[in-house]
Amino acid sequence: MMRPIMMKGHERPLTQVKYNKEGDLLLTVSKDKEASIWYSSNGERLGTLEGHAGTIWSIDVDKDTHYFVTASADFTVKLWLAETGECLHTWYFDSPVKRVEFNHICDKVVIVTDQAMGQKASVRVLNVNQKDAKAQDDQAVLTITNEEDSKNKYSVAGWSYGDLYLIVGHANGKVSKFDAKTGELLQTVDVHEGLITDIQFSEDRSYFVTSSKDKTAKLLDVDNLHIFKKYGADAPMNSACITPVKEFVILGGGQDARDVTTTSSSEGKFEARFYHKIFEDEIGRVKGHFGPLNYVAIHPNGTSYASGGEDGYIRLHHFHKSYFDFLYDVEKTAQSQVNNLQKEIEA
Amino acid sequence: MLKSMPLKAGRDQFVLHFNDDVGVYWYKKNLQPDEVIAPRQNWTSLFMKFSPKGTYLCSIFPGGVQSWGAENFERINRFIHPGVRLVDFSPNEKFMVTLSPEPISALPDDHPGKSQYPFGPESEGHKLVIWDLQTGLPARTFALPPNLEKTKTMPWPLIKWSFDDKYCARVGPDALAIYETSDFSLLEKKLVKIEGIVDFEFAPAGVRFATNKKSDPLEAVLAYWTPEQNNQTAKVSVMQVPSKKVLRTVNLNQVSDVKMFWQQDAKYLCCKVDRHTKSKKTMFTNLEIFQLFERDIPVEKIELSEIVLSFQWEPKGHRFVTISKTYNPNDNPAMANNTVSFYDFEEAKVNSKLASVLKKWVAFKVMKEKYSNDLLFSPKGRFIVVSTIKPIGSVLEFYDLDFDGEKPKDQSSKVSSNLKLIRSQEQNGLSALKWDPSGRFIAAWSSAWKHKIENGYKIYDQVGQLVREELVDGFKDFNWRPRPASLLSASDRKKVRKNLKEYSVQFDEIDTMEEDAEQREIILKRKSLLSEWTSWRESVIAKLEKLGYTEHQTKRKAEVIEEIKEEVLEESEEVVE
Repeated sequence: MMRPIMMKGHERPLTQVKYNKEGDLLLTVSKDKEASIWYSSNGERLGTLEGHAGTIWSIDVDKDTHYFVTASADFTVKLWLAETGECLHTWYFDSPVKRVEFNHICDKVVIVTDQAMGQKASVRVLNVNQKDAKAQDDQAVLTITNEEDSKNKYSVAGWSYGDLYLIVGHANGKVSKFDAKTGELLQTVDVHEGLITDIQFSEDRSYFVTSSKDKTAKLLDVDNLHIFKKYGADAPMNSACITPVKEFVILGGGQDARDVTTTSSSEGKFEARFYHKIFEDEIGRVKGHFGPLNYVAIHPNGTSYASGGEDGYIRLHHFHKSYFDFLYDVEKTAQSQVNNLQKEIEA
Repeated sequence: MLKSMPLKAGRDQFVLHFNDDVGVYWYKKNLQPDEVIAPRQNWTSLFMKFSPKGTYLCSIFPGGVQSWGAENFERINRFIHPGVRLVDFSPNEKFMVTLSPEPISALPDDHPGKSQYPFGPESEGHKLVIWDLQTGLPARTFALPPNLEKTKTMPWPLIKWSFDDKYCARVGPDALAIYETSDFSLLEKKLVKIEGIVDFEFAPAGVRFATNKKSDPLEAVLAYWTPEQNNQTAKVSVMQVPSKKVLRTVNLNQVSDVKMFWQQDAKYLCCKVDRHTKSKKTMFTNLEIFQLFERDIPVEKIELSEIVLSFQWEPKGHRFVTISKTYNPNDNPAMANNTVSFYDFEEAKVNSKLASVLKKWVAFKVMKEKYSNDLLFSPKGRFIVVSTIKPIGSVLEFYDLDFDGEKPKDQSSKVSSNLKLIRSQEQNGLSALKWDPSGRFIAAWSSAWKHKIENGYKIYDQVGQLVREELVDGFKDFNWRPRPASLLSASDRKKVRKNLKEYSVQFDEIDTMEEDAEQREIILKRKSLLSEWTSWRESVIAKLEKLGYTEHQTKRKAEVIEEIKEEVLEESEEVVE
C-alpha cells in the first residue's frame, strides 16, 4: 500500500516529528539534542539545528516557515531562523520544557514546563516578535500553574480555533480548556485513565484527538470537551493524528521497553494503527519500527505520514491511490447522494 | 421465541472474566455474542465456576460462595464460608466442597448473625465443608489433615466422589475414609486401613464386570496406590465399593510416583508409574493399563525409557496420547526435548478368542523434538489439540486421529487410527484452553492472572480454523457452560442423524439470517454515525464562518483538499460504470 522511506539521522529516540504548513519539510527532534529538517518528498536531510544541551521534546514552525521553535529538557525554548538554522533567541526556565506550539497568527507560542526540580508544572504563553526576531520579550504573557499534586501536572497543550482557548492534557488523563487570553479555567473533563501523551487538532481546530498510556485515543470537540469517539488499542499510545482528506485517525505507540519480554518487534506492537475516525473500526496497521512509536504526524494535504520511533528511526510513508479510494459502503452511498444533488443543482 | 432460538440452534453459553467484570454470553460463532448477563462489576472476588452439568454458576465473595442459576442467573443459595479459596462439586451436582484457610469459629449465642450462621460448635476449627447444593446447608465439615496444614500446593479435590454421588472418600494417614452420602457416616462405621496410602481415584462411571449380568446395577470402584514400605513392593489396587473387596492388585518396585487416569466410561484405568533405577540417577515411566470390563481384569504393561509428563485418554474411546521426555535433571527448557506419542490397540484377530480379550496398545505415531506441553482431547473424541503453553511462541496443533485419507507409511498398519495434523495455529500468550461441550469449538485464552501478553481469547473450530478473536485488556478467564445430559433417546438420535441434511439446511438458514441481521444493524449504525458526524461538521463550519475564524490560509487549503476528494471519487465512479 505504501512505500516507506527510512530516515536514520538521530542517534537517540525520536520525541516529535512534524510537517510544516506547506508540507514540503519534515521537522524531527530527538533525545540526541539535535533537531533535523528534511525534505518530505524524498527524505533527504536539509540541515540540523544545534545548540540545545539536552533532549529536545518538541518543535514547531510558523505558517510561512520563517522560524522554528524548539522546547528542551535543558530548561530552554529556542527560536531559530529557518533559512539559516541560526538560533535567534533563547528563553530560560526553571524546569524542562515538554511542548511548544505556535498559535494561528504565529505571534505567540504555548509551552508546557514540567513538574520537576521543585517547580510546579505550568502552561505559558510567550510573545514571538516576528518583525524583530532578536528582540524578544523574555517574560511570558500568560502563566497557568498547576497548584494541585504532581499527578495533575500538564503534559501537552495546543491552541483551539481562533486562538481562543488553550486545550491542555494532564498526566492523570484529564483534559482542561483555558481562556487563551485570561488563563481562566473554563472546563475540565475526565478523558483517560493514564497520562495524556499527545493532542493533535483537526485542520479547523474545532476538534482534536488525544492519545494516552491507557491504550486508547479519543476524539473531543473544543466547544464542550465532549468525547465523540474512542479508539481502543492493545498497547500504550504515544501519539495520534487526524488525517485530512480521509476520515481516519492514525495512532502510534507500543509496549514500553521494560514491559516487552523479548526483542521481537511483533511482541511490542510497534505499529502505526489506522482507525476510521467516525466508525471507530481499526482499518489497518503498518509495521516497521523496532521500538514504540513516539510520534505520528500527517502531511497537511493528507498525502503522507511520518512516524518517529524509540528505535531512532523516522519512517516516512507516502499514500497510494488505494488509500484514497478506500471507502465504506455507507460512505460511498452518502458521497453519491451528494454528487447527485450537486448535478441536479447544476442542471 | 427469540430467547429460545439460540437454545434450539444448539448454541452454548460462556462466561468471560476480565478486569473486575464478569459477563455471560450466547456463543454465536463469528458474530458478536449476545449478552445473557451484561458485564457485572465485582460479581466475584476470585473466580467463577460452573457445576459439572452447568446447573449452577458459583461466584466467590470474601464470606463464602454464592450459587446462581435458571435462565437469568438468579440468586439461589449463599454458602457462608469466610475466606473460601477452593471449590469443587460432586459429579451429579448434589454436593459442593469448599476449603478455606481460615478455621471455622463458632459464634457466641448472643451474636446477631447466629440464626444465619450454618455451623455449630462441632465444626469449630474445621476448614473443609461439604454442602448440600440444593438446601444450601452444610452436610459435613472436616478439619484439614495435619500433613496438609503447612503444604504450599494443596492437592485438590481433597474429597472424591463415586460416579453416582452415593459415596465419597478422602485419604487419611494409613487409611481411606469412605462415607455414605445419605448421612455422611463412615461406611460400616470404620475407616479402611491401608498402610501408606498416598492417593486414590474413583471410577468416573459405573463398572460392569465380566461376571456381572446385564441387568445388574453398575458398580462403584476406586483405585489406590501404596509406595514401597517395610520390605513390601509398591502396589496399585482396584477396590469395589461398598464391599471394600480388592479385585485386582499389581505389584511394582522402584516406584517414585503413581498417577491414576480413568477412561471416561471406566473401561480402562491407566496407571502412570514413574520409576527410578536402583542408583536413582535416572527416571522412566511404565504404563499399567487395567481392563475393568474383562474377566479377571487383565493388566497390560507398557515399559518406556522416557518419563511421561502428560497423559490423556480419548473420551469414550480406548486411545490415548502422552507427552514424555528423556529424564535429565539439567534440562534446558529452550530445547525441544518432548516426545508426543499416540497410542491405539492393535486389532484383534477375529478367530482367536484370546486375542479379542488381550489388547495390545502400541504407539502408532511418535513425534520427537517437540515443545508441546499440553494435551486436550475433544469431549467427543477423535480430535485432539496438542499445544505449547508458554508466554512467547505458543502453538496449537489440531490433530485428527481418524483422518479420511491415505495413511502415511510411518504409522502402524495394525491399528485403525490414521493420524493427521490438520492445522497449526500460533497464539502468543496462550495460558489455557477449553473445548465447548459439543466438541465443535475450542477456546484458547491468555489470562492476566499469568502474564500481560496479548490478554484475550480466541475460538477455533475442531479443525483449527479461527472463528473469533477478541483482545481484552486484563482478560482473566473463559468458561463454557457445561451441558446437562441429552434428553434424546438413542432412537431419537438415530433419527436426527438420518435426517441430518435437512436439519443442517434449516440451521444454515437461521445462521445466514442472523448474519444478515447483524450486517444490517452494522450498516444502519454506520449510517447514523455518518449522518450525525456530517451534521455536526456542518454546524461547526457554519459557526466558525459566522465568527469569522475561517482564516484565509486554512480556508484556501480546505478548498484544495475538497477538490482532490472529488477527483478521486469521479475516477472510482467511472470504474463502476
